[in-house]
Amino acid sequence: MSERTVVGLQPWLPWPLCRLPWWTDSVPAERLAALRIGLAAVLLVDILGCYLPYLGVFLGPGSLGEAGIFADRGWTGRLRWSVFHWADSAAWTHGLFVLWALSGCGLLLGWFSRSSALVAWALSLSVFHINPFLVNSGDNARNTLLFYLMLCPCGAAWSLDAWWRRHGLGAGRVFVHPWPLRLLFVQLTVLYFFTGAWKLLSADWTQGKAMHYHMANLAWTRLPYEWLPGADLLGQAFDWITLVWELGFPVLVFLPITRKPTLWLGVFFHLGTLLFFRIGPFPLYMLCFYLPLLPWEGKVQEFTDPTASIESPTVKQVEVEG
Amino acid sequence: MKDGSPRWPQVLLGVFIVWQLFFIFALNYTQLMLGPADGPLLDKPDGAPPDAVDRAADLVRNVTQRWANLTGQYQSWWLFAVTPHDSTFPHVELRWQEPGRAPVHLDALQEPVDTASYFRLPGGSDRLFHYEMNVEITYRPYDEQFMKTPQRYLQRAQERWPAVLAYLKWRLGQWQAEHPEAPPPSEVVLFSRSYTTPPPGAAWERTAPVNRDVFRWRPGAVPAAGFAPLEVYDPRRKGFVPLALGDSHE
Repeated sequence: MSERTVVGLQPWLPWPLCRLPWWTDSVPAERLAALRIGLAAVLLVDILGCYLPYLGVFLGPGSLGEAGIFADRGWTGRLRWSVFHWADSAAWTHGLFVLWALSGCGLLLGWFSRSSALVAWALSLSVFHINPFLVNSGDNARNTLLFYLMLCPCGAAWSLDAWWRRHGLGAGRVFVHPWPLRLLFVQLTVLYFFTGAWKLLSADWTQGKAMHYHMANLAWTRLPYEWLPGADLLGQAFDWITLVWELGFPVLVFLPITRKPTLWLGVFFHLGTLLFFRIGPFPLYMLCFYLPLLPWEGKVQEFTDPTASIESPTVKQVEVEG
Repeated sequence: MKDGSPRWPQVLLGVFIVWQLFFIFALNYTQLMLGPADGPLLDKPDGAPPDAVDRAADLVRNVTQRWANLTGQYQSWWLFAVTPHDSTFPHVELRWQEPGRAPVHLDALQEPVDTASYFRLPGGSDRLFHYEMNVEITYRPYDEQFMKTPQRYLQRAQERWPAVLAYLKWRLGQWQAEHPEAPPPSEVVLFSRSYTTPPPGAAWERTAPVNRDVFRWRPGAVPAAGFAPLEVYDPRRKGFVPLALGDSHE
């Protein structure tokens, strides 16, 4: 008999959620761990690759993000808080920045995972609010993912926390309640649908012209329109495919026959925007939403012990609050 | 739950999950119906004033937006919905009053030298690009829309002038660090250089870019009470005019 440990607080769910296995059946903790590790890696790339080279330009006294620049006209207040409001010296700014990077490292290693997620979320949101001109929708995705990670047992597997915990619990598979992954999947579905809905308000999108203008924009693109063969036809095709995929995502992803192609199209879509458009780590943050969808637990077992048999259907469940 | 009676933390978590489901749908839907959050509640397309349903939706929008502000879960997913027909870059010009001293032009940091051949690696310059995009497209006085609704564009100038001023100070500071012997300029002007994209199907030929003044900063000047340290270009008057700090501007 194999032991199965479920980590985390089991939510009380009202009807009909409590009747849906999608909301109630626990999932392998490796899925949540993959999200944590992937997001931490992208966060560190963002912090060290995008912010660090311009630290004095973007943040702190005398910078483009000095406290007070966005204080008027509603950029602050209305609960748009930031710890950088109190960073009145370069030393404080640098200290907070180092703490931000360390929180990313803690999240990556799974060392005090939820606390690391909390610090990473607080500082990511603080940077977002103190200088909102630097951000795009990818930062919305980042902050949302970090928000969920700090509220769930994201260190239940593949982490230093899990390694320490195993000494007390013994061997066995670790599972988590699915609610954070389900909410993130709902967020992803709604995100894509409304992104498409906003595009429907634009005549350029409905007439198949939008991608032409985006791909030909000298400021937004990484490479020139002249380098793209058949750009006009390509642009029209991308227009229609994008609209159908985004607006149809809620249905396409839930139908078994279209689920995998739909998700793979999303992966290619984000890789394409990473290659073509100057939107920073936006595509990488979006790809983090896809990480929990992969069967990491099976792949790891296949890699570590290919001869292992299928888990016995008789399991003992031990619930531990993480 | 093993004994059938949930404990209050479990109930709290369940309530949070239900709230999150409502929040995700509600903020996205109300923004699509009424416009981005923090914007005003406008009249209906037929000119009728908002009714009770609109006001209720506006309340939902405001409440859910405050939750987004607090938690960072902004639901602004319209990045590529707006298609820019122009490629625009911010340029800065330093001007002196003393005769014989020519203006100094500071090129846009990210404008390609050859518009048909360039490549940009991902990195921090992407975020700087976002800042510049917000600084210089905030006020485009030459669109037809401006002439119909100038207040909207001028209001954006009123909202964003501190960031524009910070950007001008930064560009000036960089130049002065390289030219410590030069006297401080009497005027620092932000102007935009725009390349219009040919429409799809038309002959592919980029016309020459067009320069347009946007803001003017006089470093040594003290603005009048109630006015910003920056002046804004008003095409109706074909010149720079003081930018009021209040809600109205004329």
